[in-house]
Amino acid sequence: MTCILVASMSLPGAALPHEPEESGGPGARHVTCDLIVPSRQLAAGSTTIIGVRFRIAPEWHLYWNGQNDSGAAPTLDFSESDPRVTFGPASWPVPKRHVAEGDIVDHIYEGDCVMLVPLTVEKDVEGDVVIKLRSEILICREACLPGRVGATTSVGVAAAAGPTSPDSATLEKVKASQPRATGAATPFDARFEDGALIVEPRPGRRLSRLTFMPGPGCEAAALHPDCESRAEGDASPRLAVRLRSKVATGIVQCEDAAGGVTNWQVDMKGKAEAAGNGDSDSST
Amino acid sequence: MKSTYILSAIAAGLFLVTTSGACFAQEKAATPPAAEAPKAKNSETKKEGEKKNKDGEKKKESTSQATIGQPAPAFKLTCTAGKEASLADFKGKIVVIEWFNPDCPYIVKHHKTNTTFNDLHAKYAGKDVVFLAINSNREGKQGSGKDRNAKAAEEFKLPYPILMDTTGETGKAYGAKTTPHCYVIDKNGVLAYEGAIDDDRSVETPGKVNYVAKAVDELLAGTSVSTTQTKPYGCSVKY
Repeated sequence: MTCILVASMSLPGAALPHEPEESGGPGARHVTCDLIVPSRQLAAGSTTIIGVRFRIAPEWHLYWNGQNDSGAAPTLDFSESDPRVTFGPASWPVPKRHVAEGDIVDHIYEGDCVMLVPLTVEKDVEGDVVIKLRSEILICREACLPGRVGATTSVGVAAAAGPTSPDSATLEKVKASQPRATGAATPFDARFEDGALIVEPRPGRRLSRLTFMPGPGCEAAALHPDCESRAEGDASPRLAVRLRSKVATGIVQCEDAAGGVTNWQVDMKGKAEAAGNGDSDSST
Repeated sequence: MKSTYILSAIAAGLFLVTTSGACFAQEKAATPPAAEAPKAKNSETKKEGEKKNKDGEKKKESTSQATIGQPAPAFKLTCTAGKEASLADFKGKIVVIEWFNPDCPYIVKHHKTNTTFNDLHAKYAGKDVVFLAINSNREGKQGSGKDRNAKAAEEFKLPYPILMDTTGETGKAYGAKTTPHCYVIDKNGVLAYEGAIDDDRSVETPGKVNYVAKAVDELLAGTSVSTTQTKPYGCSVKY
């Protein structure tokens, strides 16, 4: 592998292959990881969005970094990368809500999932920089298996960015699927009152389903039944999510009568009153 | 010869009593069962009830009957050694319950990589604190079955019984979602704590704050439990 690394480093911006020695543990047999960069040459002093792609074997799943009843989200550790690059907080894709017997609600990823990570290159950098990711994972089917996966790539840095790579289309597609910011087009009204997040369709908007997925730092007292509501007859869906946290941050997913689904980012602050006084860390 | 047979029979009988009762040799109390606790076995509540919230809206109700400050749901389960036990058997003692799946990486973390639960059990030896593991995984799913759990008890040197909740009714009555999901019940049978064992949600490292120990210490000191709920972590219970 050292030879490959040296060879790749000699070609500015050439991608390094997945390094198998970075993987380990029984869970690593069911997922691989690679890094997606929009260009093989980045501009010094600029910030670029890169992707961390997990390719998950059929029937297996990984977990979202928001609230789940079980499991644990993969960690994203770039600390072994070139010190001249820094990384911002990752944007995680919209997960799938999965309800198992016993009212166990998890938000999961199946197939491919891509986290978007801002990467900033220091000014006055020239040549190649190595981006190295290590990730501790818990991958589950019925059983759960721990493991670690990783990926390394090298990109060139110059005064100006190079042409976009074929992977940039993948990144653009992932960006387009991120939850939207709320605004005039949002089909619901949301408010944080009496320790609960209330979400209901705006007047004139017919929705068949509303789902709330509490994000990192937000904790619902009960993912079931609070966090999903479906229209029944003429009654519109309405969410009243009791919160243990003082923030209502997460994704509101709306389904309209025709089955169209949209995802919206909500970020509200308020005074939580729901039961519970302990650790409200929901980062797994 | 006849007396030898009689002695052998007595010895065999004693062995059976000892092994079948091994699960609960030191834990059971002689006090009568609590009558007020909700029952998990032969569940009297609907699986999916309905109630109206303060806005008058119909909402599906959780199956969990476990509420902090209220009597813990009653149960009657069989341990891996075949002996039955009910929560009421332990009235007058503090009861610590750990939801269990021997093949879950988080159970391995606390029973093999580290000895979190065994250490706790040792810490409270002789202090009227009873430890129980309950496995609610359905037959055929990961970590289920009496034999697998009996073997795990040996492997982990588990000093307390594993109760087999094969129907999952007890797990659902408690709202147990993960392995481990921990509950602490006070001497009066009232639920005092539910949630995580500790504050490290990783799959290898034990936490710095052990919430179960904190709750038990406070109960033993005669004070109220300061942290009554935390978010449990681990594998899902495989109902």
